[in-house]
Amino acid sequence: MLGTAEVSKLASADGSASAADGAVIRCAGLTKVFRDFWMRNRVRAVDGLDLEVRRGEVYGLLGPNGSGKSTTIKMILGLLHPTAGRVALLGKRPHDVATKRLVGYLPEESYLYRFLNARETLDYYGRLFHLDPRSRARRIDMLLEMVGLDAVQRRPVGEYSKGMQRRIGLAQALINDPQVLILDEPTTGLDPIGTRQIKDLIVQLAQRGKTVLLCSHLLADVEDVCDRISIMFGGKIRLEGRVDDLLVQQDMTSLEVQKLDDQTIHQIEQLLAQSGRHIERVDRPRQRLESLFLEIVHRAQVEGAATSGATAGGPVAQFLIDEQRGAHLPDGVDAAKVIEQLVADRPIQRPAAAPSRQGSTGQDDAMLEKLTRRAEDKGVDRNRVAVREPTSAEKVDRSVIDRLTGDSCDAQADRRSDRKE
Amino acid sequence: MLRWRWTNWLTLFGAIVAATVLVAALLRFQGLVGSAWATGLIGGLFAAVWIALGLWRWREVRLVERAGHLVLGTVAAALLAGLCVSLGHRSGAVAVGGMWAMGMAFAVGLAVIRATLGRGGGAMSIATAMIEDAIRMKVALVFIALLLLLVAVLPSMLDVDQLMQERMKTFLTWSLTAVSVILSLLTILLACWSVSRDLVERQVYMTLTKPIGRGAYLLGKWLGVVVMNLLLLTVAGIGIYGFVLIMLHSGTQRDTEDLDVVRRQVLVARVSEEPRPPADMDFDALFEQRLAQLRDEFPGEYDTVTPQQANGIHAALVARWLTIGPGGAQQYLFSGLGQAKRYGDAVQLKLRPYATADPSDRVVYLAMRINRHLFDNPVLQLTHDQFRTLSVPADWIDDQGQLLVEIANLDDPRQPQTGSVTFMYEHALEVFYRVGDFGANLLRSLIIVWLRLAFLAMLGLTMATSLDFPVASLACLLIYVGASASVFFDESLQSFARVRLEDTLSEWQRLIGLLAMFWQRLTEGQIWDAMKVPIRLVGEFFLAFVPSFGRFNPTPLVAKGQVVSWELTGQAGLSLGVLWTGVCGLVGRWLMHHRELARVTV
Repeated sequence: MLGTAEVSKLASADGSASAADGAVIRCAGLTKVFRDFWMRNRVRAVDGLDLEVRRGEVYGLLGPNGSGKSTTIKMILGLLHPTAGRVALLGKRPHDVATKRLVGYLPEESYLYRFLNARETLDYYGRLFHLDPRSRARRIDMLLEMVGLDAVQRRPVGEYSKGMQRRIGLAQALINDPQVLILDEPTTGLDPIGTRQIKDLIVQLAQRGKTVLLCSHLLADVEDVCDRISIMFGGKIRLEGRVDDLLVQQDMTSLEVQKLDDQTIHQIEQLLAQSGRHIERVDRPRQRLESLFLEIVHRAQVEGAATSGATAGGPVAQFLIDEQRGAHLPDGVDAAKVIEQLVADRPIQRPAAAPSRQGSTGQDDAMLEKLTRRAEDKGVDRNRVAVREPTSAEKVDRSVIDRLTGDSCDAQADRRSDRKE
Repeated sequence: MLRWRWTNWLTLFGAIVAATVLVAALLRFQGLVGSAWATGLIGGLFAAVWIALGLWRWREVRLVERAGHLVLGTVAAALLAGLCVSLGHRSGAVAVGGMWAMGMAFAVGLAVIRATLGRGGGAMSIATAMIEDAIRMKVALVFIALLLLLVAVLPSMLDVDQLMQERMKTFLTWSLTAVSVILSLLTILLACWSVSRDLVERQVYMTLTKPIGRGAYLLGKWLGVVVMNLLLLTVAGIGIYGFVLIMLHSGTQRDTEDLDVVRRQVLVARVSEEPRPPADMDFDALFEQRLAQLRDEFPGEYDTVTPQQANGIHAALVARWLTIGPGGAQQYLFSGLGQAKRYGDAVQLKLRPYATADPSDRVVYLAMRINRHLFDNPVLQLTHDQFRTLSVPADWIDDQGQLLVEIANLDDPRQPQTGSVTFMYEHALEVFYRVGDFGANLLRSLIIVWLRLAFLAMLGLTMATSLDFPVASLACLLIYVGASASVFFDESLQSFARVRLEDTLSEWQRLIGLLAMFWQRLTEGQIWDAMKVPIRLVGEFFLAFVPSFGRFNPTPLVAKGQVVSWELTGQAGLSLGVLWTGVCGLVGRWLMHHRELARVTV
């Protein structure tokens, strides 16, 4: 399997520097015009598109139906010829066969051979990558377990539901442990478990240095996993940038804490008034339907309820983790357990040294610990406490926090004793 | 504790069978025949139940599942064959047995192919998927079943009152034709369907974004089809050969002579020799003599002899040499028979005398002397316009490998009944001698059929790269029909709009002649006759882009016991296998490389 060094070597072989300088996918002035039989321009699907996806990032291509997302992806993969402009994938032309050893692709639908079963399907794609039989069998076992199809692997994929076909499609995209993963509407047709799993998988792959190009019109999916996004319409990019830069409201702060009574809220309001601020909105957060769904399914699985379809899915295939473990994961972290935790709707227990994709620092973790400690002592579910926005430690008024959480109990006791006096 | 895996079950099955055989053999050795039978029966029943239970229990295991299919097929065939025997249809039982044997050979061959191709990646991966596709596609399965059924049922459909030699020729002709036609249709459908389905249902999105080139993709598809054809041809070949042996051994004692003819003239590989004038017959002198006569008869017309005139004179001389007048005689020399002399088998002299007077009793009386040897019965009574084969001992061939055949027409010139006897029609006078066996001949003929299929496979794939399935398959069928009947079409087109003395013209002269004829008829107002010319030209243009399967048709040769030579096989390999398939493949690769695989998805 080729690694980063091989990618750079491959890229520099023809003198192109785009892969070596960090750009895994590069489009310049890319245009695609579909013509009819009389060569009249019928549809300008992509119009002078400039795009650059850097190594190790998750890039989201957003847009409504017909905005040119899939056409762009198909040109990047060589399935369509550009009318104008240039495309480079890992510094090579899209038709370059050797480059495709490093690429995994999941189209908008899983176009599978219906007569093959799941194992044969993965074996077929594995053989196209010239994987040796032993390694192929090992990877197929792991992938089938990962996508939850190991129990139905002997059934022809033509008998699978759409969601199960998506899962096998995802597995085939990962069979070569790709450096670049191109996913076109990956969560279409998937149940919430599968959707969640794919999103978690994307995050994990990105943590391991893989580049992911995600094309979707499901905004929540893109928001959850992407580092950078671009929004397309009419074949052009209308907006591009980092998700945080585009979405975070820099002038607002939100906190989630254990239920507060009116008196405490009033106190907070008074406190904020001292610095000239006021509470914009007070409400009670609802559990997300996704979490509720996952919990119900998890409970049914624990009870041993039978299903003829896909199971919840297993740990991330070990081969996707093994080769990159040293570089991306600290010792003691079992990446396989991470996804299990996610599926079980438990927060990931990050070790102190683990870098966070959300940019939280050690100080953030310490603050989080402090915020939750007292609540835990009082039998509060730790899972219900979360910081929505990564906030710099310097901006936190610790006295306020202390009062509101652990130390607030002492303060209230003091105030009660004051009133008695 | 024993873990109940399928391997344990299989091992125990082997142990049960071995123990049963051993105990039964020991009992038999002790003279306890009844006990031995009882042991065999009980052990056999137990083994049958054991295998049935195991096949059901581990049916999810791929190997066991396949073994289950074989066992089911065997049981079904045995029941059907038993039913046929009980109803008195022995030939039906033989057909069922043959089908079973071919089915088993197919299963074994398929397992070998899976094991061989299953190891490689790239194009071999595509080929494996292609074969699995063919096996599991119901239409393909129908074709395969039809092929096995036809080969197996044909022997029982033949008229038992016919001579064995005729039945054998009919069986060989029909079975080889059926195999060739069925596999050609299957190949066209499979090749066209496979690529067009991949393009329409978009499997190419997932295949051609993997590290495989578009040329390798086409190559893999082609490899899958030709390997599949190889398997089916092997199975069909085994079936044909097997049924030939069964037919041969089913002949009764009274058929001895007939069976001898089958062995010597049908189930062999023979070559034929046409006669030549003897050395003392100077054709050049005769030509000059005849030319002088014509110059005398037609002064001025033959001063400068045109090629057409020379050909005409030569043809007339040959016809005169091949014709024997009443009471006359002629000599015919067959040379190059050294191999036949070494082989030692009798050579066959095949005659088809044509009596110019068409006698009422249709009998022609001839006398024949071969290298100064007379037949036992010196007066030969042959039927007018009918083939007759005479056996000539190999030791009559002289050391130069020659046979000088002198034939005399015994018709009395004073009271002629038959008039002259001529051998001027095609194949009217030939000598056949053996150069090989039927098995090798059948093998070479199947190789030629396979090469034709290889071309058709590439043609289908190429068509499907740019046409939808119905159009691609119909175009391939058109080319297949054109290639199979190219000789017939060529002759038909020539007679449809013929230029005078066409055979003596070059291609350019013929084209100019046709255009002149078109213009002349147009100016004369004969519109329909004029339109025949462009119709012929379009037809010939089409045939120029179609290989001639007629040149490489081994079926009549095998049926007549004539050799399908390695030379012919090599020519077929070069022409069909390399040239036509290669050109077709290059065109297909170019089309595939330049076409857009995705469709409008905005």
